[in-house]
Amino acid sequence: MEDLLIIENLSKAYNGLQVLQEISFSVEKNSIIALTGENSTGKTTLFNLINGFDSHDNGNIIFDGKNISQWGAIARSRAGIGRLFQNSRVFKNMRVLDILLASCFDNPGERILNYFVNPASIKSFEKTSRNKAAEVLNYLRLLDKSQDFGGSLSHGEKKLLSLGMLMMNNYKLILLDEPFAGLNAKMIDKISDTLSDLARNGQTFIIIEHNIEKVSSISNQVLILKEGRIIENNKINNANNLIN
Amino acid sequence: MNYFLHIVILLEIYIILALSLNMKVGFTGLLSIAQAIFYGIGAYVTAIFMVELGSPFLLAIVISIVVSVFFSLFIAFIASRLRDLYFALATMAFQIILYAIIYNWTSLTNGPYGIAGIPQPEILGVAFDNLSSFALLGFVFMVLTILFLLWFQKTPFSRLLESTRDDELAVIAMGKNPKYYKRFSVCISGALAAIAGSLYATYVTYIDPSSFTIDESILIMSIVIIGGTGNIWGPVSGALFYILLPEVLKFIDIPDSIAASLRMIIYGFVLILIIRIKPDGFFGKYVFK
Ligand SMILES: Nc1ncnc2c1ncn2[C@@H]1O[C@H](COP(=O)(O)OP(=O)(O)OP(=O)(O)O)[C@@H](O)[C@H]1O
Ligand SMILES: [Mg+2]
Repeated sequence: MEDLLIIENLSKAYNGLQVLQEISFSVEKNSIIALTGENSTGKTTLFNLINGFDSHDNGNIIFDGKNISQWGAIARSRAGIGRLFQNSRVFKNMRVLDILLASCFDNPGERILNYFVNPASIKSFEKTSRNKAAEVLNYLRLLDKSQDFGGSLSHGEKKLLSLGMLMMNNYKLILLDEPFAGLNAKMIDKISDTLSDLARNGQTFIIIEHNIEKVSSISNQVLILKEGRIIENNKINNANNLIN
Repeated sequence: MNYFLHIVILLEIYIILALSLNMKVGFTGLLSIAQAIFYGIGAYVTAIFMVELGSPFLLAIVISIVVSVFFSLFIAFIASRLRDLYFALATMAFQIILYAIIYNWTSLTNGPYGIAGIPQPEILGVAFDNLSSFALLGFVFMVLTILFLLWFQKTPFSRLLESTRDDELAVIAMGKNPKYYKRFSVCISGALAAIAGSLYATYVTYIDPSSFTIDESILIMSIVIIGGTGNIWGPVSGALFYILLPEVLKFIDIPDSIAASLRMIIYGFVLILIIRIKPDGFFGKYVFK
């Protein structure tokens, strides 16, 4: 299988505190990697380095065959790295439908010039993305909330909506930072189902999750991080993972 | 009747001004305390071009807009570096510096003495040289501004401004550049403020720096906060409230000597009440934290 992401000797320190040390691993296309480890071992930091929110001190990040080490977060997102945050970042004062529409890539309506030279392209893009958004909302069972404000959603609904924002584009790799944390059993099932569906369609994930049993049941590779180093990297052959 | 028309004209100017600031504050979350400067740039550029160079009104307005947009890029630069309170403080510094320039560059602005004898607007041979015709002209500009914003707030572009206001980092994670949206928003805001300034200068025919102080900037901000940000009717209602409050107070029999202070006291009191009870303003959509 082809590697979608290769992490080579990645290190990161904050004010002398070595948070990540020589991290190396690779992620195959269509695989689900679970990343686990105790609190403050640098899991979220690793995501920040991969999606470009922070720059690493040493090492390389190869994504889809390109060395993206020097790329900014905007370019990495456009190259296909999506992220679900540990604390949902849903736009508080916007309506759910608008939030989904705002997340679309390559909207001609984001360029002022198009309003003068090609207003038709804006209209037709708007139409397709509204259909897509309705589909996503329907799939996530959020259709009745489409006119609610992002800030008024429950914790779980915010996570669902964040997933929906990612589903509006075709990200090659999605980083999920504790997607199940703080959710009730029903919501956990709902998110698991959504992730399974996406995985079955070939979506590649890295999932941060504290509960080792939970992660081994849904992934085909488990990375355990301790004090900034990878102490275990196990491939799991159970057919019982997320893709089932 | 004349007095009534005077109030109407002020109202039109302040509605455009409040809407201009709302572009920054309401749509993009940029708490800028320098709006009076862009209002002032509009007024001064119009005055200088019409008085010194005899330029026609419409050309003067267009040049005012261009100059104001140019200076707006400084605000965009500040916005790309600083956030929230730091941004607000930096815009305040910008206001103070530009005010000092207007006040002291006497060869250009005539400093504290101001510029007198600004001609009243004339468009295609029609002179707007009395109160009723000027009120009509102001009305046209106000309606055009409102129509533009009504259209604008439905565009996909406006959504991205709102996303930028709510969470810049999330916008970056979506592969979009918040700096671009901020730049656009401050430029539109500067352009609209310049229009208000042009109208003001040609209406009163005499301008001096005292109309464009930091107090004025804070006042414009308070109008937007009282009315509510993020949509159109909020700032409009805020301007209505500010302009009509003294008129309402006239019905209460209070001596002239304290009327002006009483107006500010009541105004301040309402501002506090709004922030306490209805933080999104009369008709606002978006609560400022
Ligand atoms: N921007 C930063 N500046 C300084 N220190 C940071 C920064 N980001 C992370 N750290 C530090 O790095 C360490 C690892 O943090 P990180 O958030 O990556 O842990 P985590 O494994 O995600 O923990 P949790 O399971 O609690 O989410 C912590 O000690 C944190 O304080
Ligand atoms: Mg974390």
